[in-house]
Amino acid sequence: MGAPSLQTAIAFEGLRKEFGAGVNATLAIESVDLNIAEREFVSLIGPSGCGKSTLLRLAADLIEPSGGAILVNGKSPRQARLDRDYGFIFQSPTLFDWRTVWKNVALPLEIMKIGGMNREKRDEEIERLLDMVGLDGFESHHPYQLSGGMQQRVSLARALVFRPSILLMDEPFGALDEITRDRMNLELHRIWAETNTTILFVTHSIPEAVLLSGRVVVMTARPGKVQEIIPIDLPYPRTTEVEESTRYYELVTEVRESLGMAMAGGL
Amino acid sequence: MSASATPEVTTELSARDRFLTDERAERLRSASARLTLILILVAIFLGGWEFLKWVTESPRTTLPHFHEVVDYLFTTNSQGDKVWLDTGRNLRLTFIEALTGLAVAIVAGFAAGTLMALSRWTGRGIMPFVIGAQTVPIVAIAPALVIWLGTGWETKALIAGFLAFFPIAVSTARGIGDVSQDSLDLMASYGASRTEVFLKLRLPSALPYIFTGLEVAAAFSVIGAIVAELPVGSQDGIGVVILTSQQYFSLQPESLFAAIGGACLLGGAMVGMVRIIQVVVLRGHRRQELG
Repeated sequence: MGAPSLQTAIAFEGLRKEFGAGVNATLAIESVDLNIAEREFVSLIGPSGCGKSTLLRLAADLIEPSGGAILVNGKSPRQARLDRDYGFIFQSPTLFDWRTVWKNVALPLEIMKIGGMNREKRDEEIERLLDMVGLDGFESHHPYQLSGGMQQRVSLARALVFRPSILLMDEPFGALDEITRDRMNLELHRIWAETNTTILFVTHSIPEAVLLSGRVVVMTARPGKVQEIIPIDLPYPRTTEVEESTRYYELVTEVRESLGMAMAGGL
Repeated sequence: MSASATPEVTTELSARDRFLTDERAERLRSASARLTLILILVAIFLGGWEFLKWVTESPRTTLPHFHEVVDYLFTTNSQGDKVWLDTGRNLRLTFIEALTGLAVAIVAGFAAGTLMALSRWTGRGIMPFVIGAQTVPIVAIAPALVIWLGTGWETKALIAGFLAFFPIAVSTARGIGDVSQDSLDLMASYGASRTEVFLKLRLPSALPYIFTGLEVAAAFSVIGAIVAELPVGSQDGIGVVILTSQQYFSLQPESLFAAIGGACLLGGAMVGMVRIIQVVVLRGHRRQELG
């Protein structure tokens, strides 16, 4: 993964982000340089306040940088957003309560009115995705009738339904219990492998980052900078056996130590 | 929730079935519980009425028996009409006034509320007027309006609408403005237009709020219509009946109680109507929000 022959999906160059102005201004991100290749799975990890979520929102054009440049699929983030190049997954599922599961997944298609996708094909796609995330039979349920894990799976299906080339995920499983989280991680990994998607994944769980990623980006806090980029040379597919290997534990330790240095630097 | 996340699909399906059955049974239980509660409240009300009369030893000219009020409805008045028919005719007029006023208030209140929530400058401009409108004592201003605009039913509808406007405007502003940043970001990530954000996110998420305001507005519209009928010059409407009954109270006390009862039923019917529409419109929303 991350082989140079692949094209760059997301490029951050000398990125800077300040919140507020004047004396109250806080520097959230300073001189971040990072390239994420197509079909790569990269995790951002760091102490709270290190600007990892900010980095994600910048790539999504939900906020604007104070300096530096971002390219998403070779375009400005705004253009990439309008071209529907990415799907964003929030920590909270952000489903619309008044819509059924089916209609929640259909929401992006309703807004995008994607050309050449007729109703029948659209319905087929929604059905396939609900099947993929294991929500077969829950089409007419409303979000509040589902558990947290199921809700987040709806949100995953909704992000995949318009086939974006990039997924930006902001601690998507952070609010789930350990067991559900483990299962969701393996499912996400399988979906990533099946769909050729580039994933930029924000987390504060070290095991999660190591298990899922091709590279783990460790960030420092206040201001957010890249402390270290750790390549994860674990075999694919990532399964429970990989999670039990010695190399896995070595890498978890390596990330933890790097994170420890990042925290010490930030204090 | 009984439909919790379970790894095997088969378990999930049975959990889902169980969930649906639970829901149906619960709905039935709550409906019959509500009916029982209403019957109990009616019994307490009638018991309290008669108890009060007995304890205070009130004569008919102060507080008649409840059944005397009911009997009165079936007598014939000085015009030769059945009293219940005459009361009904007056209620019908007041209903039309209140309903027209409510309709106007819905349109104006929704527009004002939306502007207050979405447009900073227009919203700030409107806000003082909305609050000002609410502080005007309606009982004092109604006679003036009747003098300026005449005693026609349209004047009364206007006053009813005036009173119903405020709760609708405020609840709309609250609901339209109350959406999470994540939801807005989600819509932005789809490149949604302002209109799409409004129609697919803000409006549906505001509906439970708006209906809460609408319930209050429905009751207010009836009060507004009755108050508007009180000034001299009006011929018909339940407000006129209340006023006349007051004048003849010592002769025919049942008349006032019948009129008040009719006005209460009208208010209840208006609120009930809004509730029925609410249940239909908000089928998919959280049931807790239906109240």
